[in-house]
Amino acid sequence: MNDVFAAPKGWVESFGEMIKFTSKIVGEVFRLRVFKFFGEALRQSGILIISSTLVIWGLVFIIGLECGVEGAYFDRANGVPAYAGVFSAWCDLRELVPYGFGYMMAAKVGTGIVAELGSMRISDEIDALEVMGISGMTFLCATRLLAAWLVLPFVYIISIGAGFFASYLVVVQQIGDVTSGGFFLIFWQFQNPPDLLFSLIKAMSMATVIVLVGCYYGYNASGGPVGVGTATAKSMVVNIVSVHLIGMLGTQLFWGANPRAPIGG
Amino acid sequence: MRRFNFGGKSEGDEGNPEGSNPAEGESPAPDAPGSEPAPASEAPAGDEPKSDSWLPAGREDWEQPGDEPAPIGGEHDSPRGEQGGGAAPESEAPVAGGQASQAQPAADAQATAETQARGAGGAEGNDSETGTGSGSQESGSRVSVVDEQPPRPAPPDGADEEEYRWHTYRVYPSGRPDAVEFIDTYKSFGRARILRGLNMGLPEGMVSMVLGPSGTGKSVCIKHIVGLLYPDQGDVLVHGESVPNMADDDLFEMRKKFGLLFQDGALFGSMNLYDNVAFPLRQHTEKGEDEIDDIIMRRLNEVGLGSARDKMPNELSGGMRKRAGFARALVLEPDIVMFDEPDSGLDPVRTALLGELILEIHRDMMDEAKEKEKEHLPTFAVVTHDIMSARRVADYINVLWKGRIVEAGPAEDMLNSENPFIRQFLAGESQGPLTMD
Repeated sequence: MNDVFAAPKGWVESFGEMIKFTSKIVGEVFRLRVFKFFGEALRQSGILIISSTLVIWGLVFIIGLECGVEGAYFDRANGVPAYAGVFSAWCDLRELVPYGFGYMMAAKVGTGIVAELGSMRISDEIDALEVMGISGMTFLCATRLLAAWLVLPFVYIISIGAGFFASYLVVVQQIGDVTSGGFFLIFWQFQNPPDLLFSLIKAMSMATVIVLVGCYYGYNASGGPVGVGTATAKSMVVNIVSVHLIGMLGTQLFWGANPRAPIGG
Repeated sequence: MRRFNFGGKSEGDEGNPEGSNPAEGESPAPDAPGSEPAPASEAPAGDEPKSDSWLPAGREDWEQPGDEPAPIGGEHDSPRGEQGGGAAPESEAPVAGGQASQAQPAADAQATAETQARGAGGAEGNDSETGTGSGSQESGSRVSVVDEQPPRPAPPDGADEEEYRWHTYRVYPSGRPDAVEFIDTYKSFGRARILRGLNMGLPEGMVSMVLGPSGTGKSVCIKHIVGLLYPDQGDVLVHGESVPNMADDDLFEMRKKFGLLFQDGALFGSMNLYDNVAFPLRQHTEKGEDEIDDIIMRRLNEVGLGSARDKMPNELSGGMRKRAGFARALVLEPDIVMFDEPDSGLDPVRTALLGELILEIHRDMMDEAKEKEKEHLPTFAVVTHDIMSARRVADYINVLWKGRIVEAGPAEDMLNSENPFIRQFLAGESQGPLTMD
């Protein structure tokens, strides 16, 4: 009987440790201790911008293309091709752009953090940092979280723009069932600034969880290179599940009770 | 501190698994008439302590006669041949394990000769600074402050007396206060019990070695000292402060006292050599870049890496990484510098050179500490199982096995120990208590 409960018990313990660890990192940011290493936070911001933005924008652009294609043909099939803008607005802003952003964050940024911190852990670099009287958690983790919060809102908003632009290209320029003016009339009717804010909240929640999960698995990696690989894989699983949980909860919370659509009265 | 101080080295208690008190039932040495420590005031004329001008402020009482005199002449007081030939307090203080006073002179003379040879070139001949104790080698007596030996500690849970039969727990006094102390420290990782009631001290102002077979917890000790690991039981004190009981902020502050050379240097892979060494200075000081540059280049030149300043860690050899780690460990001028197996992966010549570098820098730091009258003298601790390094570098040796100290004391005492385990280990012999099991 004990064996039956051993695995769930282990998961609960791990989850508890993760919550404790991540709370500490968030605390370091909110208590402003991280600003002692603001230079490092800026360096991490630069790394994020240089190494991750293009690939995120590229992925979201492709997702925007797909939303445009599906929306245009679906509306044509239902005899309302002029409403292709609805699909673009909702698909891009509310669901797939946040997911695409989350996937790429998990794959590029999350795993990168695990690999980097994990390598530092097994080569004693984190211990060396601690022995110098510098909190590894603050210097390595809180700075990364602050960098994500500084940079990613802008990256995400530009991502949304990339998605919208891709949908416009497909619906108006490629398929051409609707004029540019007709597309934008419907497109803007079916979204408003709070939707943008809600979408941003979803995406930043995903980004925060991904950075924290990456820090947790990287900082606590053990068992040599194999251990770092295992930690990276585990973090990817946790991040993908988390991205979908946040996506689902966000949609339920922001649009589940009220679709915020100018139809049906 | 609950260390077990056995002042004298008597043959009768060597390898005494039953732990009987070696002093009991033995006649005191001729020059040690009593079993009680002689008060300083009773010291004979001419045995007054020399001027301890090198001692940190407020620490002039470290080596007062009848207080805690060095067990053997000046070796312990003046590491690496600094001992002078000045008069020293002796004789009137008691000798525990009195036979040692008669059996020891020959061994002491040999040890002294070795020490002097080792210190050749570095000997300062600074009698007034070396202070007390030099003269005791002339009498051959080993003086102890311990007049009563504690009972032999019980073996740890799950172990029998036979398993710890070679642990005499004898600690020859160093004549210095301990910068670092382990007090009944236990540490386990899962089912692996690493530290099993460890009592150990690293004396201030000395180069101490923690020797022992692989897997006995030497590196674990270092991690306890700097607060990277916490004991399951017991305590670890650094300059009298309990490390496990420190708040995080205090711990990070305390860690500034430390320099630690990791096995592979632990250089930051994202920075070049120069930035690695400059990192602690940039984080912890307000020094300008010019001043930092001066310090970094001085340290890099000391370790022979001045020309490699722009190289990344992955462009350096193992030996270079170790030397770079050494330079980085020293830039904040720490009170305590620790080396985790500095000889691993190095060829014998470079191991010897690194040992010389350790001695040289310790000597420089000692001079600087005396000059600046620092509160604490620089303490170096080297964790290794390389016997040649121990012979070359150590002032003080702790031999660790099965999570406890077998014996500890100044290098000469340990190198001349009659304990079969110590003898086997320090001689690197295959026959003896230590087997592959």
